[in-house]
Amino acid sequence: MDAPAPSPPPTDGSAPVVSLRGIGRDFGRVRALDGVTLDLPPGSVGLLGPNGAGKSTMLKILLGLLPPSRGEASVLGVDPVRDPRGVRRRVGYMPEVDAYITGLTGVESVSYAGVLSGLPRSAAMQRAHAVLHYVGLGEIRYRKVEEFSTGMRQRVRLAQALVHDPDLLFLDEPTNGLDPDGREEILEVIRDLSTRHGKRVVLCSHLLRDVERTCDHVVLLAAGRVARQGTMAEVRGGRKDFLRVRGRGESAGFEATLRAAGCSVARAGADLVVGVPGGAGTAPVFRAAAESGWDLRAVAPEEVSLEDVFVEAVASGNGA
Amino acid sequence: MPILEQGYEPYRGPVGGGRGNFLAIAGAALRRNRRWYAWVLLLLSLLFGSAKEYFLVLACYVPRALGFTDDNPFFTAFANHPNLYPDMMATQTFWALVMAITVGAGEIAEDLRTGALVFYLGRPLTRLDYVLGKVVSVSVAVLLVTLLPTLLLFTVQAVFEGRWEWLAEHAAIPFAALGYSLLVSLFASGFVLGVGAVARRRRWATVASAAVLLGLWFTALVVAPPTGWTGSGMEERRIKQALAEARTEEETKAALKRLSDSLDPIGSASERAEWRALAPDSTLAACGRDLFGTPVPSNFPWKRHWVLALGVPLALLGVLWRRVRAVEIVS
Repeated sequence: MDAPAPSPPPTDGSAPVVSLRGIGRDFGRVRALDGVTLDLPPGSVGLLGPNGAGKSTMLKILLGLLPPSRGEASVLGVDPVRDPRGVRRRVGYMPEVDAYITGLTGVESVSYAGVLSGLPRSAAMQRAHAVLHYVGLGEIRYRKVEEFSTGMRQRVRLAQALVHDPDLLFLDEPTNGLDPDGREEILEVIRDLSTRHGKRVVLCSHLLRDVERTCDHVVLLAAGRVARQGTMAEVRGGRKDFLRVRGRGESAGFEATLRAAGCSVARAGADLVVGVPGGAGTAPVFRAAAESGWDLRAVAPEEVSLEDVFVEAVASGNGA
Repeated sequence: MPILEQGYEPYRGPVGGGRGNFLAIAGAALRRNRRWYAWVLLLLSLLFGSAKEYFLVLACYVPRALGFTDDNPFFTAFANHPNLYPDMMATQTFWALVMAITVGAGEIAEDLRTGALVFYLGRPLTRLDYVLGKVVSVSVAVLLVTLLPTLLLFTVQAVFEGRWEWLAEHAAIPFAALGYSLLVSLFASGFVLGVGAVARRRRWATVASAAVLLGLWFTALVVAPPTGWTGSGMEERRIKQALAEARTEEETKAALKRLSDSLDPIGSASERAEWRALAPDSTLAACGRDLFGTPVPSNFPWKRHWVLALGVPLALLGVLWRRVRAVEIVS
């Protein structure tokens, strides 16, 4: 018997979307998650962590695919252990890895995802057309998925996650394998879903820049524990901005001038990576170049890696 | 192409409970397997699995219906023999297993390769939905080879007989055929999905399943060859002679018994019949004889063929169950 589409989640605007209380998970003697307690607020949340940090395990527990060894979890007010299908009915999951069915076209594949999520066949097909247009695959939706490029398959996975109009999206590395333009478009879609359409988004990524572009909050996981959490500004608070600098000639004087100005300097091949105090921008670099007479040729923002954040979090004693 | 051109529209329509998800999974698997060689194999299966019995039944009834001849005792004996249907289904079983390997062996391997397992398990369905869907998809192919031609032949024979008494007397046949077809479906799907699940490529899964089936089949053929296949012309002449010479009901029954023994596609009359259990089709056919009420003689105190016919597929489905575990979600 068909029922009306689920009404918006019972959680009010400020209630946590995901709530974990002392969640732990052991695989034999390996402790993948170690007593994680956190509340993910509405909006978009970035879940960051290196391999082995426990974010995949956390995702599986939240999707109701893996029972926790201890602790309690709640997703949109639903217990994923007691009602895993109830959770997955309201969650759209975009996996990191390829996930397609051979022989199906793009629109068939997305429609099939809709049918498996409980949509009537005709509604699922209509919805598949709409979401494929939305993610930018409208013109090639009748091609078989196995003929798609990596980036196109990424978009199909996003469309599959959206087809049943879920309240919450779990996006696992959504920009993997995308070219710069494609990546920008996907990030734009995620931002649009979060800000204009009220979707709650949990974005798993190892790219801080992706999370910065799309998320309001961030949770850093390391060794099965929460290393840091809060708004992006809180998590990065006090960190230096990094610039990649290229010039010509001997740079020793330039480096010494920068260090005297409170900047850090590290070599990265032919370039220098300069850490400047927060908010200072590129001014210290230009000033040091002028003072030392170094032939400065290029300055660009340095991609901040997750590792940088973790190293700093652990070094400053703020890690869990 | 500009993205967000159309914008995102929320869905306001009905949402079902997802109780029939396994049927959707089965449907997708069947659509994927609609390939030319599957149709060719289906034709071959019908030809080699059922054509002989169709010929016997038609040879018995058509001349009579057309008024060309009276009863032909030879064809009449065959067409009304209690082993007509179980033996036809025994022959079909081998082809049903081949068909199952062709359409089903690569199903899980293909899903593992393309990540479709992740696609499925991220949806509001259970492992049981997934496994059941795959079992149903293989079973449909098996039923096309076994149940469909059997029920059709029964209908043809019932129409030619045209008597309610005959229908009442043989009413158990369709049910036995259904039961046996379901048993073969369970075995075939458990066998091909379980063996195929250990591979990560469709081709290797198919090769592995075929190698196991044919290996067992040939081993049984060599170790315990069936003794009384009706391909033997001498045996055929002896039966004809015995039937022609039968004067009393007892003599006719004895001749029919001899016919029954000679119709031995499952090798129960083999000198080392216990080794026939190696061949899955023989094991299943022995169960079929039980279901049709003409059990094969057995020296064993328990129904070993039933233990094998049910135990092997369930064990292999257990292998599949473990392969579809949630850990596969994120590698």
